[in-house]
Amino acid sequence: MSRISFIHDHRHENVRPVLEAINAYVDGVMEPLLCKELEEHLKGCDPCQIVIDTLKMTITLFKENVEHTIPLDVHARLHRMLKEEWNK
Amino acid sequence: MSNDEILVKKAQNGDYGAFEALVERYEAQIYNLSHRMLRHHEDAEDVLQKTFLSVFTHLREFRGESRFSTWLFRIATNHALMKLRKDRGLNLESLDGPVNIGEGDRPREIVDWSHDVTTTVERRELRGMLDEAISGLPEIYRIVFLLRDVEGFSTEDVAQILQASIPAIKSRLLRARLQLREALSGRLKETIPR
Repeated sequence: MSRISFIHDHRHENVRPVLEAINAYVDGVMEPLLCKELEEHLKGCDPCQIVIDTLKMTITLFKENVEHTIPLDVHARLHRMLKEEWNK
Repeated sequence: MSNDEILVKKAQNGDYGAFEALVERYEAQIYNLSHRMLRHHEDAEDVLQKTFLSVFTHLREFRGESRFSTWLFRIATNHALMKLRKDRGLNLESLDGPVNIGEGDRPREIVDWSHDVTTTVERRELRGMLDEAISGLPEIYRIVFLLRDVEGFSTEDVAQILQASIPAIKSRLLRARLQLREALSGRLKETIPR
């Protein structure tokens, strides 16, 4: 089976290369020829399109909603400890 | 020279202000990463303190062969993973080698919630769903996802941070993303307007 033909075979046995291809597509690191082939396939395959859209949105939601804050007391204890170490 | 490199050089030459600036730049990221790995505030603070204590102790040995952030996150993940191994019996050998992506990874929930989610779900509720989903991931998948997709490191950087092969990172990232997608789909399909 060629690397391209598996896309047309995705409803059958071999799920791994399809998922790896979808992952590469989501990351934008798919080879151009394979990418074109996948995009052709997506025109007629709702399930694949849905998996790609929801996979992309999953990543986006985590990126956009993960907090990057530190409690003030944790920050204060860390800096106090480091200052003491520095001054030793 | 990047800002980090300038601050590292100054800190290596005894400038405490530069060291403090480096800590302030990364402390929230390290604390939150640790908290998402350990799911316990005191454990996260412990990892945070150990990480910057290690940075302080070994800063003079840092030669800039990798970026400072990669080196820092390697130290932090080492402390977090060691804690998980010691306190909760995590098997660190399971970070080696790629995982077998197979039938169990096949997407089951085929429902398109991607267009409506930000308008139909309140931010607080959404954050709760995301926390629940990521807490359900095994630690070795969670750390790869957090480093790659949340902190934004490249696959190569994540491999360097976790001292694992690139195929190992790629396969874990794929499984992590698929499991998170599945978990969110299970919850979010209920929110789609009928």
